[in-house]
Amino acid sequence: MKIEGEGYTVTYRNGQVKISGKLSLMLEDYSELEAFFKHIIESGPSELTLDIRNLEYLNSSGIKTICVGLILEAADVEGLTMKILCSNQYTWQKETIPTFEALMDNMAILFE
Amino acid sequence: MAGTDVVTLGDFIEQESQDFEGSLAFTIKADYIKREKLWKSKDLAAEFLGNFWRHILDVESIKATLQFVCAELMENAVYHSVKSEYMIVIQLCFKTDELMVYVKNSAGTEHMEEFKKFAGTVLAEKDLQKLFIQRMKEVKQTGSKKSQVGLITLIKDRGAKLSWKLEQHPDLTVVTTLARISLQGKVA
Repeated sequence: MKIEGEGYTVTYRNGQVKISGKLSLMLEDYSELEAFFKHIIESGPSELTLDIRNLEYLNSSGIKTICVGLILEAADVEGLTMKILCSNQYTWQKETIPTFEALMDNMAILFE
Repeated sequence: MAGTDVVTLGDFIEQESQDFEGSLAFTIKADYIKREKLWKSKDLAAEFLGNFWRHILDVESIKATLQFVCAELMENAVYHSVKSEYMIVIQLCFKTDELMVYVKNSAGTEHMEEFKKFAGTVLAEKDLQKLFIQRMKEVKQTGSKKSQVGLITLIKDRGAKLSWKLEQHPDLTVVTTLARISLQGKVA
């Protein structure tokens, strides 16, 4: 599965969600990504990896969409574990992503 | 101003009372161009401001911070602007020890009580990480579109100090948001 927009790409394959580029949509335009996340959760993976190592920019509506539409939904699924792969090269990731840890018990945040 | 009710939230400082080393402003009528184009322009303006001041100040880390702060404040301005004849203004002012980003837009007066309550919570909260998690869980439960996560993130992650001036007019409220970014220890 894949969503491609101006300046960003989101893909899902074998339990791995990859978001890359710059994601700064208007709040209402995140509905497609919300539906994409919903579909992923409903497909019933036992492990989920969110790879944002090449996500250069994410606005606050995007932060909300990932936290609410993906992480909190995943947190509600019993037995589902999650990993977030982040990059040290983007300051915003170092500042913002560690906060997500408190959203889900079975989640690891890894920086490289 | 006669007939105008003015309220400030947080440690708001008027632009006029300051002695700046330099400043740069973008001004546009809220409804002059389509919202989608305005949205795109906002990203370009934020990126430009980040690059420009990084060059002026010779501080690499300021680029990303400024880009986020300017983009988030302009996003809020684009969302909440209600009257086409009112301007959205973003002005970035530089003092020796801090950057001050002023964003001015019009907003519906009916939303102001809710906003004042939210601003009061954000300004008083010591544990913003806890507030962030709490807001995310509330949004999931209620399906609310207003997460206010942008403002929380600006303080929590970008180190900005926020304050507001609300000027209530008969048919709308003019909101000026001030984000202060300290340069102490960053400029050589």
